[in-house]
Amino acid sequence: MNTHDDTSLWLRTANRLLAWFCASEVYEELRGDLEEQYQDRLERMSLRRARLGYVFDVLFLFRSFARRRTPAYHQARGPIMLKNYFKITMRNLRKQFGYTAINILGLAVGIACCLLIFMYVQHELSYDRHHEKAERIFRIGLDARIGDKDFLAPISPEPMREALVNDFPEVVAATRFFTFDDVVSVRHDDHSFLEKGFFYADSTVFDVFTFPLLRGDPATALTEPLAVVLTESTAQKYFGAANPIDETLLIDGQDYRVTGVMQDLPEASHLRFKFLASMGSTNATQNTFWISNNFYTYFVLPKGVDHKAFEAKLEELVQHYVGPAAQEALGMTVDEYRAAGGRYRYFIQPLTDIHLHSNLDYEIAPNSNAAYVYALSAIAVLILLIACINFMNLATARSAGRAREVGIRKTLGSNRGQLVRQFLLEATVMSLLALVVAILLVQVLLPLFNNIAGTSLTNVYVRDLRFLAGMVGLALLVGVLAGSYPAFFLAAFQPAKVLKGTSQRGSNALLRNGLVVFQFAISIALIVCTGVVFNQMNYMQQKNLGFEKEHVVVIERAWTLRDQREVFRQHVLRQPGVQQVSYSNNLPTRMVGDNAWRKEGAAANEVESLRVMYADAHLIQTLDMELAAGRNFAPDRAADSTAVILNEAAVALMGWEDPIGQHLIQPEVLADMEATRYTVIGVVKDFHYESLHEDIDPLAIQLSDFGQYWAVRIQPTDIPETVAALEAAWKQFVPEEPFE
Amino acid sequence: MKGNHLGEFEELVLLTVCILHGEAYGFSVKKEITQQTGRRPTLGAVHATLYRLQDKGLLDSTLGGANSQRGGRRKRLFTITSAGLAMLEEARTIREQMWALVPRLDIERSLG
Repeated sequence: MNTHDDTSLWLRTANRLLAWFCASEVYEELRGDLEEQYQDRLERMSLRRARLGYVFDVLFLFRSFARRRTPAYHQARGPIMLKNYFKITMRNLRKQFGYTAINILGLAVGIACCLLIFMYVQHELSYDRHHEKAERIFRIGLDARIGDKDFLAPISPEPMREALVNDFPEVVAATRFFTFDDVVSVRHDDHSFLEKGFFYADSTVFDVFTFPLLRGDPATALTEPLAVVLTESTAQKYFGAANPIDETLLIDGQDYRVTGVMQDLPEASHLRFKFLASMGSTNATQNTFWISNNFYTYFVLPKGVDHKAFEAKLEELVQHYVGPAAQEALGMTVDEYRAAGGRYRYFIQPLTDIHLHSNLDYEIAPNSNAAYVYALSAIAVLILLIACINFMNLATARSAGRAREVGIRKTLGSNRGQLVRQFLLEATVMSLLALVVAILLVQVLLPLFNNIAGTSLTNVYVRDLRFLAGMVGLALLVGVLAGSYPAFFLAAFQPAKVLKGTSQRGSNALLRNGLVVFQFAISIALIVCTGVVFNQMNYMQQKNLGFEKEHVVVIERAWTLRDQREVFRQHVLRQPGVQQVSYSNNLPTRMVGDNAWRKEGAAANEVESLRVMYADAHLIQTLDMELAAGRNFAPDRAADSTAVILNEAAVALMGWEDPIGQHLIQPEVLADMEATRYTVIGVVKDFHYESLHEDIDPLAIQLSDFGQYWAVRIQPTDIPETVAALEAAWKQFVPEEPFE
Repeated sequence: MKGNHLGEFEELVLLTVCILHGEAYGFSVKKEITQQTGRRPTLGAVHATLYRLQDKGLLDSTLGGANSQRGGRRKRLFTITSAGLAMLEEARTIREQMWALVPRLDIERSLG
């Protein structure tokens, strides 16, 4: 079309620009004028300057003509129409209350689920991050293979802390924790309680962790033996509002001086203690053997130190310290030990990884798993997606009702963009309303959720401005996401057809059906998952454990009776409702240790490891276990002190056809002890003495006269009365001991 | 009505359209203004003003013939309407009335 030279890229680009921004009504004349001016310039100046002038002319036109594209009546801008859209939205919401309620409620449930999950995930991710040096604190663990047993545990020997500080100049501070994993009895004046969470720690604990002391001096609080720091709520429990500093607590028979009160631990902490006693208070520190791992050791590295590189250096510790110890105990060097298939290696874990990524043996307390966090986040997204799709489908399904409105609006001059904006606004208003409902739902459901999840999340997030802003952002996102399809769908209606009443369906059916299928697929998948989890939980609760756990009352700290035991037993047996009483060191799910055994006649190094329960002769009856063969212990047979009852798994491990009368040797642990020969007198059917997550390991039951627990089988009738009688009996025998 | 007065540039464009009498279109108006006043308005400014004056009903336009100089494109020829003429005259009258009121004394003094 051009007669002037259009070889220049500049001119062509300028023309294209003009065609784009300029309304078609004036394009022709403008192009003509531009052309004329260009020719005029060509006569007076160089080609280059003329071209440049042309480009500038076009650019200057932009200012005056860019907005002339649409006729004036299309330019009714923002506020006026916005007000109208808002009014229409509100009218529609009110007019179709049922639809609105369903839609908003659907979205609200989705958003509420998301919020709850988000709060939970946030909580899980926040573990142990409250320490100032959280990013630089690490825990030492042991990865070893001893015999054919693997150990992967966060524990280390007593001298580890000192070695870390002395041998590695980069270690800023280190501290150890030690705990017996048992209840202690705590007494002050006339109150006494059994308490969990009694930890021993080095005085440097405050250099490593941020445990703010409300009272007391962190530098000296744990330097003396028999000093204890309490958490705030523990101090409150024993001393009320009074200042507990320098008061004494009688803990397991020893007087501890209170030297500090620290802020309660936040819930998001993998360390959970109420008492922090000085390390000097326990004789556990006397075991300084390098291959005896009893402590949890934490240390701080400086900023910028690569912890992986540091981890590699820990091999020096194995060579310097573990080596000689191993030589002494096993008669072989570390290298020989490794050559024989053994493994001995220290590793370190970042503190902030412990809660989600550490699932080792001998954890201080069971940790969570990062997989839960990922799975939950995915579920949250899916639920939100379902809610959005649901919203879309409801909105499009209802489109016939709005078609006329769209037709009228278009006839009156609305363009597509305006209609899209209108429907997006509607969707956003609904999702904001849904957000409000969702927050209310969360408030109501939070206690229930905490109950199920075993957390104590609070709604602090609702008061957090950033969180609120995030939620509003989420609602807007949901509004736009859920509103986009209906908006474009509705805005695409052709006024002539709609006003004539011709239905406009068909082409979108595939997409909508696809959405419904997708929605149902996710829903069904989630329901199936829920069902599986529910069944699993049911299994845990209903599964036959192999013993009867119902109607058994456990009294802790049974050893406090000392030689009064048999008298107490007889006394309790006389109480109405009591069927059987047993005194034992271990009960199912509570602390089952293990021991080395060997078949009589086997070589000295063919040692098998069996879990061991120590109990009196009544345990089997009390827990209602079933004997598969042989007999129970007889209380009056002296020979039964070297008798043993195995479970079926142990018999299988030993490979005996007829286990009764066979002999097991318990090898000498230390050189000056003699090996003991035990006779198998009975076999119990396998029972779950650990969590149902684990297989039933081989187990031996031995008679013993030391123990932790009284297990009392009571009749299911009148349980409170029987328990009250037990408590009375307990108080009568050991008045100073709490009954729990 | 408040916006009913002519702007300075609008008045200039209206006058130019009168001068060109039937040959007034974007580029010719621009050229004439430059010749008469020495000002160099952009083509965009001239066009925008022409269209605005048309919207106000002061100008009328028809699409006229093309010539080879314009690359075969037609031009929009503007003519003044009676309302436009009245407006110009009103503006002129107001000005003359006001000039008449300026005291001579001051002028003489400033001249002297």
